[in-house]
Amino acid sequence: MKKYDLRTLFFLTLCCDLGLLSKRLISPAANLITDALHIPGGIGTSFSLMFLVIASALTAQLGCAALMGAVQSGIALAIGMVGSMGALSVIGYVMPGIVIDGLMWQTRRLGVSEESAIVLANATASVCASMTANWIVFRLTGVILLLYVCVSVTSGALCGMLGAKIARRLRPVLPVRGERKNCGEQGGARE
Amino acid sequence: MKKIRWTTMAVVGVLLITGIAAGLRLAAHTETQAGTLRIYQGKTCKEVVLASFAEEPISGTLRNGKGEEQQIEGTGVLLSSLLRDAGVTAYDAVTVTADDAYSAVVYAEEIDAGDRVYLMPQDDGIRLLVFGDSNSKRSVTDVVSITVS
Repeated sequence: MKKYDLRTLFFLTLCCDLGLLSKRLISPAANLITDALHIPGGIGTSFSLMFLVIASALTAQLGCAALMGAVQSGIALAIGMVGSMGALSVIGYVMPGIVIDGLMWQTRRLGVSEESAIVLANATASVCASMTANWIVFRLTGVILLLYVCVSVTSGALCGMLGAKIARRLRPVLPVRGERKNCGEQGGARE
Repeated sequence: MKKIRWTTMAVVGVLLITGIAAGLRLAAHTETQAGTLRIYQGKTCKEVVLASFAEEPISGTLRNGKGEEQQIEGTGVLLSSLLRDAGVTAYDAVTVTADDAYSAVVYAEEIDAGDRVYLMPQDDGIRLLVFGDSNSKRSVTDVVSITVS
């Protein structure tokens, strides 16, 4: 396993903290949308997961997002930011991380462009987080569950697009291992 | 360039599907007047006004997941009284659902305990209070329906 250098570790720590805090910051705005749609959430987590996806894309190391998810769950448990999930929130933090790692690794192998990979990973991780929350807490069914998942996918994809832009801006200032072969300005696919 | 189009098209696609799902949800959603509850039992639905039930003084402490305590003082309706007065006599569990579909299940022994489960009218809607929980996640706000099972 490749080691993380100090600068990367600082960056990962920053992404962990931003991921946790951004959830709180964005929730008033997100609640406006979810209240109007009469669903219990699904937007704030997508924005929070964006930081894990960016970190995973820039460090290009398998297990990075899962590790960050585990760290986030530890911080959340320590400061009591566990919401309705209680101690099971560990699953809610780690599962999306595993999904991000799996997708980023697979898309890297398949030569998918960075932008597409980030959008896909963010959207899928958001659905994973929503389904985990639904399984543990909400127990939604039918149309409500469909809308809840759709909102998660949409917000995840939009946050992924934003994340791809941020990752492109950050790439020059961060050390990158295993950079995608064709992830230029617009992120083209491998021939 | 092709990949950008693919990504953008995919996002537009999920936005459209979300729009359709939102339309279905809003069409199926029943607007409830403030202070009103719908009680579902089997295939029947009864709408009741909370203010029409006898209110009792409430005094107790709720504890959240962080261990923080919140002192509750006010008046509200015992869930057992509400169910009895609404003609619901047999129940094993009751699912209390908020306007955003968040729900909590309260069991018969908790409801029948006497002074444990209340519905309290507040400015932002009706609130379910379950005293004695180690984590107040069953403190549902903006309650709109009760499903008896």
